[in-house]
Amino acid sequence: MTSLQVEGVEAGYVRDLPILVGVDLVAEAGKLTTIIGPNGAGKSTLIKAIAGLVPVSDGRVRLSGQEITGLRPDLMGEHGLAYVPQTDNIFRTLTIDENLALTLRGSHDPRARITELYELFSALRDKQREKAAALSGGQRQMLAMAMALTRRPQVMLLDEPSAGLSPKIATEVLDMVRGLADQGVTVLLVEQNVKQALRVADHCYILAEGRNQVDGPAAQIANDPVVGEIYLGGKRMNAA
Amino acid sequence: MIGLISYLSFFLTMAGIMAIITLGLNLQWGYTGLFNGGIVAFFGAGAYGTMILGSGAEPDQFGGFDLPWLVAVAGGILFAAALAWVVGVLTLRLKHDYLAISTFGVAVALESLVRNSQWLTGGARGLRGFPRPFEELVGDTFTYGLVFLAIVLVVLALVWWGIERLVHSPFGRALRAIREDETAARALGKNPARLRLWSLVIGSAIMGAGGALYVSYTAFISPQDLLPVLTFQVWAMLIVGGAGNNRGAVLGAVLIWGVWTLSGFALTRLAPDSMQLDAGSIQYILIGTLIVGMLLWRPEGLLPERISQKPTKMADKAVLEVKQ
Amino acid sequence: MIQAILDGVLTGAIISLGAIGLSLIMHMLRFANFSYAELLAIGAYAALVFDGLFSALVPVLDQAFAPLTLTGALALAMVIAMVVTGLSAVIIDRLVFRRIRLKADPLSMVFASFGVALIIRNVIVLIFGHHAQLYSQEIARAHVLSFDPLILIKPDQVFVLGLALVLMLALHVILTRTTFGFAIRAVAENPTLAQVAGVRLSAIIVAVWIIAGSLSAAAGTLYALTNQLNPLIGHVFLLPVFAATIVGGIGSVYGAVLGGFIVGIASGLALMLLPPGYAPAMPFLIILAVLILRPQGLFGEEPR
Repeated sequence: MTSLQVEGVEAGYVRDLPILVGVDLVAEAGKLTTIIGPNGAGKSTLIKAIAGLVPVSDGRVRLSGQEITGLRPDLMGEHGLAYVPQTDNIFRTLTIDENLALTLRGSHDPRARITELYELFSALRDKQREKAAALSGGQRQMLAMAMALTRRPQVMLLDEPSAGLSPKIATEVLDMVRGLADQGVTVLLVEQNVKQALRVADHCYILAEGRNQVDGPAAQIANDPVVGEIYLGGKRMNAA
Repeated sequence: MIGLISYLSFFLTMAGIMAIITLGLNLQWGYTGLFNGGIVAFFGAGAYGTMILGSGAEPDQFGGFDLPWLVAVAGGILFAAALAWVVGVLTLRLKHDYLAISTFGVAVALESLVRNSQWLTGGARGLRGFPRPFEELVGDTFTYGLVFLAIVLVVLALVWWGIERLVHSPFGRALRAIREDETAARALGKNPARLRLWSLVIGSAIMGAGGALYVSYTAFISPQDLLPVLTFQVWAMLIVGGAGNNRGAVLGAVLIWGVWTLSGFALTRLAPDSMQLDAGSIQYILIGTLIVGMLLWRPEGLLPERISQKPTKMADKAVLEVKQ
Repeated sequence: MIQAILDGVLTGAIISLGAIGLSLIMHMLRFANFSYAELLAIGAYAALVFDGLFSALVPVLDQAFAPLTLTGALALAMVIAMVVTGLSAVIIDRLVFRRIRLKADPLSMVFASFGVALIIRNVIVLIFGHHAQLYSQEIARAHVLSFDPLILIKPDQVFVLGLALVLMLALHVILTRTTFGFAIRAVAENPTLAQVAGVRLSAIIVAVWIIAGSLSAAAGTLYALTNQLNPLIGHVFLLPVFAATIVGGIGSVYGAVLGGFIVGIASGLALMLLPPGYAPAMPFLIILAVLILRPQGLFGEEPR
């Protein structure tokens, strides 16, 4: 099992305009850590920075001590890291089967693994020859997760998986994510839906204005009034 | 001595005409961000327009209205402006690349049209014979060369001054606004489409003026003058000189024209007879290498614009080639 | 009129082969490549060189496959030319375009492509001369398919159409049956997600240049086979190939194929109505029409 450490990370799309100004975070091995916070806090940017899609100008990202800061995104899979983006997370012009096969390119027995995944995601199996564009919102999210799982990652990054889904489907999706953590995958989950996030998480970080505010066990955060203050009242801890 | 001055006068006259055209391109590209891939079309419109209006009547040939020089030139410029207006209305809302392709296509289509319309434009033979301004007043060729050079320099100065005034006027400020942040500019009531159209039209009118001066000097125009090589030359001039400011445009024009004539001269003198036919190709390779080399070494040109350009394409770059 | 359509289909097949690569390149690298059509010229002349080489070294290859004028040497030469042109495309990208897109804005790549086109075309002129050439001195006899209306077809033309379709089919198979093909389609749709899915972007870009180069080389050689070889092939095909790409929608391989045939047939029909001198203007009119009526073409992305 692998843990993820983020130390003092500064990152942003444009060199002199960082969105993250110093984030420290640990996602413990085999646990589900969630990041919540108001809009514009930089939660998505943090995930993308870890995944190698946003340039990191300062700080380190490590997997169980091994540094992966700024590694090319296509090499992350080899280090056991998988990422499910929030939007545009599947290839709409490829069929479901092709989507999965793509992620297994170059691996030993892709068909066997794909069959296993169809066991897990039966709705996908029925539509395997259809283009992914034909899927419903919930099914697309399933496909995106399946694509991330093809190479049995040890660390999974998820960016708002419940976005745009009905409450019932959102619950199913997050239950599945919880199931992954229970099986030993280290999960880092960014969520806008605080209730759902705290329901499935072990540990919780609150991000605002590009830096940490508060963190602690999920159950504790759920009952802490400071959360509401940070979201609604703009209260900021660790102000510069 | 007279030969040298005469040649220098010829060189500067042509360089001056190229500088005028480059100033027109600078207004379109440097100040407004429009990619004109068909410069030669507007140059040609000005040239053919002036020739048709100003030359004497020929049997079986359209044109030859024998109008006074200034009227003929004005007509040529108007023709170039009108062409630009039509092209602009049809294509200006397109993205950069599409605009480049469309304007390039306009030039190709125009050359094809001109080459095949014997009755209108003299076809492949072209049109010959033009009463040069002040020619009867000045007796000898040598002095006339200097007179015409003076005319070109006056026009160049006028165009320069005109563009400077334009750029520092509300129109110019509006252009800069839409270049830097179109959404904000729109919110402030600016109309980007209209502004771009005006920029295209004025810039093309300037290019037409260059064409008018050219034909007034050479007294001959043919479809050969409408080939894409002029477009490449002017782009090279602006890229080398530095887009976004007039000094860069003129500097680039003189430099590139210098390289062109010098290389032509050197090749005629130094290259063995067997290679004479290839001289043109070597010149094109030279221009091509200059363009590529400049873009690799110093894309902002020798005299870059003083206002710093905003990094507009960062997101695209970050997406496309994220490297370690 | 049927003759015009037939000739149009033939030209269309060649344009399609050229347009496939341009569509992918324009979509992935986001620039209008004015030097792209020179790949057709490189391919055609490379085939000339290797044809001469093979004919000289292995004379038995210099026999035509009757009734075609195509010789064994030329067939082999075309294959080599495809490889050579594919590699040339990669080298040009490495030397020029890639450096520019890492340093400067995308429009600089368009300017640079002007320069590259000038260089390539004139290097060809320097090496091979201005004049037109032919691969074979044999006269290609036309077969009469029907006398009234008069429809002629040369065996070479049938071969060209057949080979073009075979190449397109081969590409289709690669794109729909191999993970390599999935990777290309993935990068065309969403380069960021493709990286997340484990695809190495730079490798796919190289692959696309190789495909573009080899298909263009085939197009150029096939054109020279049924017409003639001259340094202006690049200039002649530039607008038609752009037109085909725009008609089909930038980024769509199938759009490029369809677009090529549309441009070919439309140009052929237009020639019936207009004098031949106006031929170069036809693709431009098509481009204008598409950009005004439906800028994304047949299968392209919706305009943002």
